[in-house]
Amino acid sequence: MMFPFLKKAVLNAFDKPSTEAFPNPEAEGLGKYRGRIVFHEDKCVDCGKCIQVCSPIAITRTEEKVEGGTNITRSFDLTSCTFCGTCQDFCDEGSIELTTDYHMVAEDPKDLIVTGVTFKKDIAGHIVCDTSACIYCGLCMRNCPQSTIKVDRATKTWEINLDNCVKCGICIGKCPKKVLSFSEE
Amino acid sequence: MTIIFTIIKSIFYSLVFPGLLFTAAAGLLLAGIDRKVIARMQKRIGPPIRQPLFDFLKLMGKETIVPRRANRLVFLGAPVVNLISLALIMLFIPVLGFTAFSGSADLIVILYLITISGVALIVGGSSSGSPYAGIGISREMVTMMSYELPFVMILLAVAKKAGGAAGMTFSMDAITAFQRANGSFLFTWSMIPAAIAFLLVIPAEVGMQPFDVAEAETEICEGPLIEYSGAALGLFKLGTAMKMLIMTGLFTALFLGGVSTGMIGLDIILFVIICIVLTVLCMTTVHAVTARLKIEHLFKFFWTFVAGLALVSLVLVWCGL
Amino acid sequence: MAGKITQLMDESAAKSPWLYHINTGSCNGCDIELVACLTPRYDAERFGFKLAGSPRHADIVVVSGPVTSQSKERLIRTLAQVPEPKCVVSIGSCPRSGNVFKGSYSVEGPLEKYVHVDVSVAGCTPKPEAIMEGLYRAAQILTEKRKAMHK
Repeated sequence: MMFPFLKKAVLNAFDKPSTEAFPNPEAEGLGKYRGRIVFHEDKCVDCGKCIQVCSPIAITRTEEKVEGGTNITRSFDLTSCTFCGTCQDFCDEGSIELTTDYHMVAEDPKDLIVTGVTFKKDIAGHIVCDTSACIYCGLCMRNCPQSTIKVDRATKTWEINLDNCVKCGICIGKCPKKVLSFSEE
Repeated sequence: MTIIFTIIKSIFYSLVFPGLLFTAAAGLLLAGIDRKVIARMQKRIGPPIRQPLFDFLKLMGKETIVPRRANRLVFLGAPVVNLISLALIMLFIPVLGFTAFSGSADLIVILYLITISGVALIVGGSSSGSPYAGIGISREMVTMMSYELPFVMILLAVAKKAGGAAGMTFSMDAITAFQRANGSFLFTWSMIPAAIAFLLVIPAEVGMQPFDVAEAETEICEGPLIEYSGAALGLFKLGTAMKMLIMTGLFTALFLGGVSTGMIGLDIILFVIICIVLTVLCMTTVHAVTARLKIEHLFKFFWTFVAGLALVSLVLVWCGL
Repeated sequence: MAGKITQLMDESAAKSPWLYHINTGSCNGCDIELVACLTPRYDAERFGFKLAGSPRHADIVVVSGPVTSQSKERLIRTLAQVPEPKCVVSIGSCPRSGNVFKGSYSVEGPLEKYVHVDVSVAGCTPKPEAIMEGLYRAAQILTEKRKAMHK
């Protein structure tokens, strides 16, 4: 036949169109689409891992000193993001979440910046290890976002580089023997 | 007094009915139905039927840019010439029972006016100085050459058939009167090949897929129209819509002549309905199921298959069948 | 009467927006999603959207990709050929910021440096639904711009 789609076309003309409605409420929250970032600012411990892993440098961090601590503003620029989800995977506290919300349309690009303010108390002390109970498992070393802790199981040494420490406290949470703590002074 | 009346009547004929306004309105309706039906054939919802009107109004409200290298007069004059020639054709095509003007050589005038509208596109495109327009023009010329041969042969067959033993008649009135007396040509077996050939000429004349090689928007960016914008483009788009009505109307006049209800209002409605059916049949359906042809395929198709069909009719009519 | 026709023209500006798509070094992801908008499933043509072949016919210019140094000049020349009223829509992260390509020696973005972006659609890539939403919003802006033209 010369026109193989003739029958199909004529039948389609009397059939229901397969077009979806617009706006389409059925498309919400479906599939594995990585959309708008939601930042749970109360969960953030300001470890800085997300900034390190972000390939398009979409995450910025600004500090502001206030009474008794620091206000840390973290902003996620959605017009710069590749929505790879690496920050979500690396965030131990689960404070970064990529939702399936795809409605990211704005006339003003400022509407596409997600910000969150975390308050961080001033901590006078630094991380110390009770070496008498430590089993040198190395979990603190592996989980440190800034790679400040060095653990050597053979020589039984535990060292911390205080210059790089951001005092996030992740190592305290990860320690199986609860031997890490902030020093008093 | 009668002179003034005749002048007013002529102005009414050329501007309102069946001239510019009627042709434009009905043409936009046909274009809208074409877009809607093709959308449904592709399982889409499709634009509203008023969409070509919106397109036209929007283009009227846009800035019209004239390229620096273009000849301003020719560039802006071409769409106007195109529109006037198309509005004039409609005066010679009978709206079933009603004819505005009828002389002794209507078919020849129609043939030339249709060519003028094609030439206006070519002249306008060539004045823009774009290389894409150059390719488009050469294709448009080949397309015109392709469909003009079968088109003229069909017209000759119709003229010979209507003229009978006395020879050929190119008068629309005579053709309509002959069909009213002896039955429409569409149901005369010797004219059926010519009718099929004419149905195939219509999409080429209007520039519809698969014969839109001249305005292939995906490869040469609408060819001759590439540099047009705003009102000038709007007039060309309106011209395309009017051409749809004119070609389907010409088919109605040549092959369904003599069909008439006797009342002018009903005649107009019936005429537009016949045009809609023809549009859906020979333009929309063909557009929906085919892809664009190459220029050499188009040329071959029209000079062998379509011209062959027209020739069969012509020979049959000449033999007195 | 004249006022009525002018009003009709203004309204039809939003009802028949024709798109012209410029790829300024995009990875092709956004381009595919833009074309997906015209498929039967999303059918942007029901709102009058149509892909135009020439920038002279366009109302909405859709830009995808970080502006590379090769495409920069072509982008500027193309944008200058679009008749007023026109709208610029950026699709994806690249035109707004450069995305992962930012800082590259061959990227001269962002797009905002060369033209005012009316609507930006974020996502990498955005869903066709989101692109439709952005285009729909741009069509509304066209009417406003058309109204501002004859004031």
